[in-house]
Amino acid sequence: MNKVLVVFRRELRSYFATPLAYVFIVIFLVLAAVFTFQVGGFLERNQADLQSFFRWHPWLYLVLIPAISMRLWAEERNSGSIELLMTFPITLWQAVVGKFLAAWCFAGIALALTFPVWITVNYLGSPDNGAIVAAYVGSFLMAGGFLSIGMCLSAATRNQVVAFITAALVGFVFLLAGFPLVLDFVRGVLPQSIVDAIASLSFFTHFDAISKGVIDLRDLCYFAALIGFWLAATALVLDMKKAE
Amino acid sequence: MNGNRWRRVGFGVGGLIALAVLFLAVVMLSNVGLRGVRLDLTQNKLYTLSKGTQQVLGT
Repeated sequence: MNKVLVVFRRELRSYFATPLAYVFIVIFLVLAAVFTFQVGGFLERNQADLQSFFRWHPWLYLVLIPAISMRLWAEERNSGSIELLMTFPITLWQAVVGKFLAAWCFAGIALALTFPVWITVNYLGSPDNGAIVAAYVGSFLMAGGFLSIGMCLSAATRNQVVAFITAALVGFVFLLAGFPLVLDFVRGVLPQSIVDAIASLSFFTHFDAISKGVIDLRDLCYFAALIGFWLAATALVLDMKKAE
Repeated sequence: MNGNRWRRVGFGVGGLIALAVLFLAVVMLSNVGLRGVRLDLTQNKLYTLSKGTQQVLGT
């Protein structure tokens, strides 16, 4: 556990050693604000909630999270520092978890810095703050899901561009599986139970459920299983690539 | 040497498939088994049945 913390601290500090982290946070905040106020029509809706803010989070993450996750392992492999990392007295699993937690924490910082929109909505009206807290929790969990996917695919390649594109692609599939557009199409061919099963694999379904203000154990279970699966897959892929 | 490498890759691919099956199983089972355990954070408990409703329903 202690060694996970060491990797975590080193990684998190490395984000802020370059301007990359600040650029990322600024882009995230600007995009979130543009989508909330311009596209989502936050002020025109005349309702004291943050629906027009959280609605866009899956799409923001789809594009921005792969930008964090692409360098996690691809860069180490490309520069050769992965061999140094492997000789440290830490297990592969500890390195994977430490790196993931650092990236997740970084995404959490970016998310937390959207607090002005929460202040704004409280200043303009009296929103349901419980539901907003739940939506923030859901958004954070979804960021973790996207990150774990991106991390695994970053481990599979040494090219960061490939890592970015594949992560966005797989994330898109996980997102799209919950959309009515896709589900309606599938419904004509497959029985309802399988349609429900497909929907329950999607980020969108679970994020949507949490952002209504209800934290269901099933949703937590889904995200925990998803992150666990992709982290284990990362360790497996790294182990496989060690042979090369 | 070469055989060893292929064994490792085969082991890894098998592991990935096993993991994917495990993930699907966990999600499906939790969908069925963990129904109803929820934390309603909305201020007016919008998604929770009130005491009165439960009495009327006789539970």
